[in-house]
Amino acid sequence: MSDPLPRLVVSVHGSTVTVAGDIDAHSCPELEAALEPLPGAGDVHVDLAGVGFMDSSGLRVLIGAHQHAAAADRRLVIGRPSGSVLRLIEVSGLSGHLHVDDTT
Amino acid sequence: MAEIIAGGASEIFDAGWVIVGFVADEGVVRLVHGPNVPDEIRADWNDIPLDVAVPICEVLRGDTPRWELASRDEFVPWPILVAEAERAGFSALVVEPIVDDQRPAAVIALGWRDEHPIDGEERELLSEFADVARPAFRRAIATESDRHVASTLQSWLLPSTVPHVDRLSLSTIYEPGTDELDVGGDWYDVVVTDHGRTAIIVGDVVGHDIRAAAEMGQIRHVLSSNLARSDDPTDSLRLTDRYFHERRPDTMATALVMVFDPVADSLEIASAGHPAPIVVEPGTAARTLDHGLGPPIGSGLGGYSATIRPFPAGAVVIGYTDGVVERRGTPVDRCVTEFCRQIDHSIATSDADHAVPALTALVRQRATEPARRDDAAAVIVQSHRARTGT
Repeated sequence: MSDPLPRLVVSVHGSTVTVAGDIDAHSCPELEAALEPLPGAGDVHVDLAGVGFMDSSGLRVLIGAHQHAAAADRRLVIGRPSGSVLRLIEVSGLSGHLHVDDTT
Repeated sequence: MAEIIAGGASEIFDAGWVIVGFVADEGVVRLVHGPNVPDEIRADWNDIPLDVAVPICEVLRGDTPRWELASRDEFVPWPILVAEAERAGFSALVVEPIVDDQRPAAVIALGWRDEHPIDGEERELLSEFADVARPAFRRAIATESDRHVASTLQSWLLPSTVPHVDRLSLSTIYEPGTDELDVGGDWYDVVVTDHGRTAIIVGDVVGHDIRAAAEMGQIRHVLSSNLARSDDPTDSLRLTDRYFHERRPDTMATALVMVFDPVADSLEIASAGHPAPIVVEPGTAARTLDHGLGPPIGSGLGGYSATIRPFPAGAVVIGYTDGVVERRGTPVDRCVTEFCRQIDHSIATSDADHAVPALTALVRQRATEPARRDDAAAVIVQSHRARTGT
């Protein structure tokens, strides 16, 4: 049954992508669309402060964008992930690979 | 979806009970009951062959456009209907098709306890209701058939048997998901390598659809083939990751590889973003095992490493996917702790040297609990002492 409320809001300003809501198999195409092609120039910042839940579908999108950025000599920076998102990145063996910035 | 339509029709045509029927599988009609359907009918009329001589099947087969049977006298051409009307106590029946692409995609059947001649207004309302239900039905039927294809594919793509391995008791488990929209890409495999070691694998493809099931089959074979030849978990994960990143950049999977060495009594463990296995050594409590943790297969990030640990006789190791442990609304760490406690209890209350059957029952039970929706796979392994004289 479809959810009447939008579960994910993705907005793009320059090379910053701000995400709010839950990222799962159903909503991740919206995030994917915002990151392909990579927006703006220089580092791409994906602000996840508004994301409470993310599953492996979301990780797949972030890894894909990370790889695209690396190929274009850019960086994908994941900003302000929640504790559970950070934990997902850790247990998925991605801590040493994805660029995470939880200070901004 | 069919439940919602049946419920809606029940309310609108308030005198009647409602059954929605559609062809779910080749030659099989699935009947979904609305809220007021008598128990006698609910119990016996679920999946029925399309060739049964009843009005619902006649309309679904396209033999008759629709039926309006206002009293029991009109039931006579269908002996089954006469008998059921007697048993369940109904006296009028209308079967309205939901027509899609000029074919009956589904039917709405309404029954009344008393005789019920349909008037023009009611007939028009019923026809409008069928029109409104059509797009919802089209989606529901597509979903149902996708799910059927995907779960069939999934079961074909898992190994039908696993090899017998000296000194190991092995059990493998796969349980499909409970959510009607979710089909997973979880898998297990057991491969004896060219070097005489045994590779035990559990994995989980990202996604819940036919594509995930199909990708699972490919990843399982590529990874197992690499392991069989190279005998090296780190190298096998690296090669598999590279292979899928280059050819299928949208594909991603987590996998745990554990290679049992019967000479050294050890396990070499490497992980591609997969949950840590749980180990129980004789006389100790169940706990998650530190293992070399690298990124998921298909990420193209590489950088895998392995950990070698002793695996003495009597020790148990369980590799599993999320679906075995995760519970909606409970943090994962707490779910794992609870799972470990259940494992300890299971071993303490069964034969500790032959713990695999009891642990299999435990994992199966967890994997089929209603609070879970994801699919689930697991491999349970216990090591045994070499038999004297062999």
